[in-house]
Amino acid sequence: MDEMSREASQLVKAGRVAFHPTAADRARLIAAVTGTATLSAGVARAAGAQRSLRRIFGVTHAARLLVIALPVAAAGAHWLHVRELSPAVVQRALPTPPPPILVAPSTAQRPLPLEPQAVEPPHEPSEPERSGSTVSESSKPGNDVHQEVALLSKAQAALSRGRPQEALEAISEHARRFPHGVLAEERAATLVRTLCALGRTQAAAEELKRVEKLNPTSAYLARARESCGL
Amino acid sequence: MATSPAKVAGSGVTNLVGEEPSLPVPSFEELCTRYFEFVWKYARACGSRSDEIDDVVQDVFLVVQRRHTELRDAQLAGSWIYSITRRVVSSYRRRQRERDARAAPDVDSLKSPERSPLATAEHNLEVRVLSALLDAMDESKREVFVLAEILEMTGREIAEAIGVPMNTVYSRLRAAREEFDVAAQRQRKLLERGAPWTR
Repeated sequence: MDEMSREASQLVKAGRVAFHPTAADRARLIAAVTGTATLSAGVARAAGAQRSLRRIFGVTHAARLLVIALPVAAAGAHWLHVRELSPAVVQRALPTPPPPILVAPSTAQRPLPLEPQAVEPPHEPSEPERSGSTVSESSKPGNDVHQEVALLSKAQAALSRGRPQEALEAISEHARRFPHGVLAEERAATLVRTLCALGRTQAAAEELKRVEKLNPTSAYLARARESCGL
Repeated sequence: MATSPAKVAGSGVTNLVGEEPSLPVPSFEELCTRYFEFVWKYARACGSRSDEIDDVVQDVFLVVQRRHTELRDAQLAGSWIYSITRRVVSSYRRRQRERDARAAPDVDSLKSPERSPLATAEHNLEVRVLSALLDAMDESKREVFVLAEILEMTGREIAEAIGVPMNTVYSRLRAAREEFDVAAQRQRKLLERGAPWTR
């Protein structure tokens, strides 16, 4: 494979260092996601201190920009080896954030053909910028994945209690709020089982066929097929 | 650039596709331990900011936990987790663009106590330029570039993780590297002329 230029290789090398988690990151998040360990007092204190700093920086946004702009400007001059540039030129060159990149939404998964299809604004977290770094913060309402889990759990619980209509409502809500959610595949499988429970076997088979085209190896759908006898 | 699996031992990357066929499906806790660094690094390289990375990683493993029973083959654990990570990261990228078109600089990237202020600032500038260039890439190129260059995975590992033939991986990687190379050099020229580092 072709070698990249020195500039490109230097950027990649910087990324390998910058994108590596620290030992504290690892300890904090492994403890958080497994739930088998509690945060040590030291890590908790560090996390608390970090959040406090973030709050301070959040309040003094101008100060944050200043803190960033000055060393970055100096680094720019060094990186470019352009010592002749005036500070004003360096300043103008460096700290501008990149413009947003617009990407077409993925078409890999379409919203399920559920009823009703009420139009609602897309879900957004209530706070302007999430600063969550702990389990408690990311577990609060506003976390999309948690809300996805809650909705599908509600649907599955209703289904297991023999209330498919309730399940369908929860699935519809999930489809409306999270058309491209990370649990869309699980939603599809739950929908198939729900349609079967409602006696809508033909609709279940059609839905199964449609979703299997997108993910033919899905274990979720295989189980849904088995449970429905399709 | 050499990509040795030994170099990334312990990062979770070498285990991405390397399980023996006879191995039982790893427990959720094992998956967390094994793939934590992979998830973190991939998310950061694909634009997850320091103030949201914890949420991204936790969301990935929440889905992993939720769908753990779906995993029936230990050999597929890596690609399975990669597909979840990719979707969660994409979801965050979409929302970030919608609400934060002009993101504030990532303050946490400034923390480098072991470096001098100038070296730290230089490093941070490089990371900013890198992030901007990665952000500008087409998603299919970005993913192979990140997996190959940042996470130092081999072509075979990437092919198994993303579920495409090796030739496709190398073809995308070659195109991605060319694009990145051109963009990096163009960025340098722009900076030399005193222009803002935008695309």
